[in-house]
Amino acid sequence: MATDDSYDYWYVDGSTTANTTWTMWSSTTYSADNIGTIWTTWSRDCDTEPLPEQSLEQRIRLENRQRAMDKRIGREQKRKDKINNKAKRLLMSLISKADYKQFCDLGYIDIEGKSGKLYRIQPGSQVKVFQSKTKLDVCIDSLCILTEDRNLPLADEVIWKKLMVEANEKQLLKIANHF
Amino acid sequence: MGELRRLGPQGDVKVVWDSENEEEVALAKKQFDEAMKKDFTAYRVKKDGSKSKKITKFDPDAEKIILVPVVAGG
Repeated sequence: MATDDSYDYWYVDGSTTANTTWTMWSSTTYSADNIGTIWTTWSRDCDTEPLPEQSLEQRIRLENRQRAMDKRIGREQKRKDKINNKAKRLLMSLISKADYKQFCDLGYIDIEGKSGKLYRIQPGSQVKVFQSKTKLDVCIDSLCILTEDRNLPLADEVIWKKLMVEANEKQLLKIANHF
Repeated sequence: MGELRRLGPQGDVKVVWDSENEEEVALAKKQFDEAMKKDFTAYRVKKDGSKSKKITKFDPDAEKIILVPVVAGG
C-alpha cells in the first residue's frame, strides 16, 4: 500500500479520477493486464481533465523535499570527489609525469614486469598483457583481479596493480583469472 | 620522513614517521602489523614510486610503504 509520502510524490493533481486510479494501482497485484488497464485509464483521464493547481502547502512541501534531496546528493558527491582526488594525488606521486598524463588522456598506464612482459593497467578493466613493450600488437593474456572490497577509488586500483606487476608479478599471474 | 599509506574504500589512511622518533616509529609499526594481521600486502617504494619491493616486516627506513588489501581473481 502506498504511503502518504510516496503518494505525494506520485500524485499531485487532486482529481477524483486520478485518486481512484492511484488506489487501483497501489492495491493491485502485479499483472500485465491490470497494469495496462490502469495506465490507460490514468493517461486518458489525465489528458482530458485539466490539472488543478497544487495547493501552496503541497508546493512548499515538495520543494523542500527536493532541496533536501539535492543537498544530500551534493554532500555525497563532494565526499566521493574528495576521496577520488586524494587517490589521484597519491597515484601522481608514484608514477612519472608522462605516465600520469597518459593515464589522464587515455585512461591507462603501461608497466613492465621483471619478466619483460608489459601490463596495461586500466581501472575497472582486466589487465592486458603483451609480450613486451615493443610487441604491443597482440595481447597474449587478460587478467581479472580485484580487491575483496571493490569500492576502492579508481586511482588506487591502478596503484596496487602497478605494485603487483613490479614487485609481485608471479603472484599476480597466479591469483588472477586468465581470459 | 617515512610514510605509510593504507588503501581502502574511504581513501587511503596516511601515517608519517620520523625514523629518529621512537614513538612515531612504534605507531607506524603498529599500523603496519595490524594490516598484516588482516592479510594486507605491503610494498616498500621510494618517494617517487620507483624500486617497489614486497615486504613482510615494517622497515623504519622506508621512504614509503603502501598497504594493499586482500586481492582475488575476478
